[in-house]
Amino acid sequence: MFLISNVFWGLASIGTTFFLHIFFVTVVLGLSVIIPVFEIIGVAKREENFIRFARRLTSYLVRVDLFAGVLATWLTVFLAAYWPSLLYIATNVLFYPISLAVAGIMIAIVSTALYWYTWDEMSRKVHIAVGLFMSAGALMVAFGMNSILALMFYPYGVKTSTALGLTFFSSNGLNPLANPVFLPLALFSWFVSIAMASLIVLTFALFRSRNGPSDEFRITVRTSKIIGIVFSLLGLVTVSWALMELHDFSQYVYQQMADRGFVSIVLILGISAFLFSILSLSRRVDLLFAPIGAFANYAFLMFFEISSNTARYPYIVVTGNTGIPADSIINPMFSIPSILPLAGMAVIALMLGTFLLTLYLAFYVFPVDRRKGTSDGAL
Amino acid sequence: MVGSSPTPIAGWVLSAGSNWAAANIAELMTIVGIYVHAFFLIFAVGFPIVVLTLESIGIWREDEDYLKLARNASKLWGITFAAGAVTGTLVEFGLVVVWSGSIALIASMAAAPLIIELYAFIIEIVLIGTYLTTFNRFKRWKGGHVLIGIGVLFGTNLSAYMILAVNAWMQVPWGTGAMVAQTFLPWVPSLGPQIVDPAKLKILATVLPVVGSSLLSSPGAFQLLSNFTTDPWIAVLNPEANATYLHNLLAAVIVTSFLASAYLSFKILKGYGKEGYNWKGLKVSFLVGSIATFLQPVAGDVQGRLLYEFQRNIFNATEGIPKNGGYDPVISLLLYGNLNHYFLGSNYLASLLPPGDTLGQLTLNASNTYAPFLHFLYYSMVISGVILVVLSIGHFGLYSNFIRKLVNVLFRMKIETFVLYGSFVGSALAILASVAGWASREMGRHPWTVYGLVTYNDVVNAHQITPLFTSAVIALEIGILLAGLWGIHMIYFKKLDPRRRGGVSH
Repeated sequence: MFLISNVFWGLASIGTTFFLHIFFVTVVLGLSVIIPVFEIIGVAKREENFIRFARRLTSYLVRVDLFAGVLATWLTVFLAAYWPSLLYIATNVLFYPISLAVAGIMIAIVSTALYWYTWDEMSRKVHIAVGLFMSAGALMVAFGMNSILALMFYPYGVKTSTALGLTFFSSNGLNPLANPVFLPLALFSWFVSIAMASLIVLTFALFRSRNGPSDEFRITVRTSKIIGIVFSLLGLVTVSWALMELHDFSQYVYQQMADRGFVSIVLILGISAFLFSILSLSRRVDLLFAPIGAFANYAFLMFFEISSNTARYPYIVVTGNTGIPADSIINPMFSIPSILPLAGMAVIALMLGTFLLTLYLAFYVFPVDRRKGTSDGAL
Repeated sequence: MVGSSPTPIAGWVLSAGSNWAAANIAELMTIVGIYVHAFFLIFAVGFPIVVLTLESIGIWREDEDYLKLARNASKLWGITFAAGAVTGTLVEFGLVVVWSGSIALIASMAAAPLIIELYAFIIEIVLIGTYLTTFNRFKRWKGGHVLIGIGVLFGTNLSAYMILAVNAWMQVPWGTGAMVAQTFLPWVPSLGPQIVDPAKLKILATVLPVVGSSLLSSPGAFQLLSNFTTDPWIAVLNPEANATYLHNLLAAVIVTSFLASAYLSFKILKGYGKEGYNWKGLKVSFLVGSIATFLQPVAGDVQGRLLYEFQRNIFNATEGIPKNGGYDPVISLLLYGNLNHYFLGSNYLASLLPPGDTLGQLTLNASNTYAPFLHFLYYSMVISGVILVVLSIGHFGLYSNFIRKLVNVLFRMKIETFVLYGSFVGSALAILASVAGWASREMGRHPWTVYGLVTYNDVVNAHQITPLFTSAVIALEIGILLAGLWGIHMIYFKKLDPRRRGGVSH
């Protein structure tokens, strides 16, 4: 009874946080990549509107990044508190990819801060270089973190040893990077994130250009459309690759997904996302299909993540047709008091509502370009 | 009870245990990382008091200058909060990646406080966003905006309390009853009710030194620790947690309010902005810092008493008690109300150790080795605190003729000059006291991660933490600090209007 309770709360907490976190990191990753692209195009074409648009997007990136960071901390602490063995295995067996991700976080933090605060303060070429570091950092984070999911689908490159009748997992150097499931998962997360962010940006630009004569929004639309289409297609290709690898190396997961019809739904969603992004090319219907395309990409990503990760149940780590069950990897050291996860869910619901209200205030009621500095500009 | 000299498990294939070299190298990057994080979070904890005081005065007096001061100051609150949040995320990652054995701590005694801290964190981040984006938007009821700020303050303090409760548990593992005394450190009194299963603790403490943190890599092994504790809330009930929280909160207020004072003094001396405007801010920030400075000795005294009670070896080292024992009239007066108490030294503590208690001996060796540093650091903090009290009293010369004259006589300067230059001295001393205080606290705990239970070499990652890896991480950490400082420079120094530069003579 005790263990079931802990498993339930452990799964509920980590699941809720994971699916909230993934939305924000997707936006952060996508924006981190496409913002420097806009700046580079602006410099190459000597078009100030691209640069202005990139700057505007960076201000939004900074805000979303903070929220994504908080939820990343939630995930880490929930893993440590409820799934300590899993976290230990992840940080130890996957020492190199996780270190790569942590280095990516550090690079992304520093370069995002520099990128934002040094706008117009340094030469454009150096600023672009900082932006490219920001992109690289964000891509490294997603790349490294996907190794955890790959490990749970197919624990490749793991050294096992036994002592005292117990099985211990340890690192096998860089081998986890050669996990066949890893690369398609990492690439899928990159491509869908970029596709989704570019379609969100496109929606924003279309909406603003219809409500005002600004060239800043009108001129950037074409680039967003192209990025959205290309990366929606790449997302579809990589998810197909990921499904094939799951079929070959994580039979239990693939079978569970296939039996419920989820493989077909994933592919339909991927095709839909691609088609909607193509439809956004039409100037007559772009304002309709850009947000639909963004939502379709989000649904595509989330459905794949939810269906594949829940397909592992009752196992946390799948090994072929069996695996390590959740109740043998959950934290057994104390009985999780119900108030702890319930309070968390209440707080997150309340604060998400407040956050969305804040975004509304910040984006529409009090947008950044209308802000005025004080005469002193300082304390 | 826990074995004092763990026996190796035959045939063990993972050689992660007792990795002192890796632990020592890893410690360097952790020290730098935590200080970088602390630099930012100290603003997030301490500075809101200054900002909200300025805003409240502005609303109460209907004075736009105070509101403008509060708004400009809130930018620093926002920047440092963001930097604190991201560096905190990194510290957390660093903790679980580099000190991966500490996951066992997070999974047991630290779980509840760290989870509550997560909730506090999200309250903070959402409300601070709301606070910063709604400045001057509450036209009818301006107090509403202050209330949002108080909400942030609540989140910040809840978060600080929970994190510090975990640190306090690492100093004083409350809820372990007499276990620490009965295993390695016989001078430690009973640490609250025993809510930890002694058999499970024995497994943990016996196996950790042999296999290191690799213990956690086996789900089966971890299940041996089921029902380790019956009370996951014990860390927040630790008496050391209350004292640590209060001491650190006041320290954060002192550091940030004196830094704000120093910045405003710089502006006044260099002639940036209107002098009257700057003085308004300076008076408020100095007053806030002074009040916190007056309260700090009380919090420090409570913490000192707890150190004496629970960590006698560290107390002896910080107070400079000779190995053979000796008299310290001032401490004797504070603790016993007389001047003649004889304090027993580390040799007496060594005499209490049972034969074969190598970790107990290692603890005393560490205390004795670090004693000169600990004594220096501890008294750097205490002397800095005394000077801060003098500065705080002196600053009341702005309001009291008697103190004004006293300052004039003692320091041979005008009270305005005293406050302007005193704010620079105060901020330097406040930083020194904070850095020294934390250094002595953490250095004093060597070689333990959890005092008397788990040593730090046992929780380091099984991977070799190489000097190159550590150097790269330290370089990144310093890069983050410099980026943060640069951001502050861009907002608070570069944008100072040179047209208004003139300067005043004091």
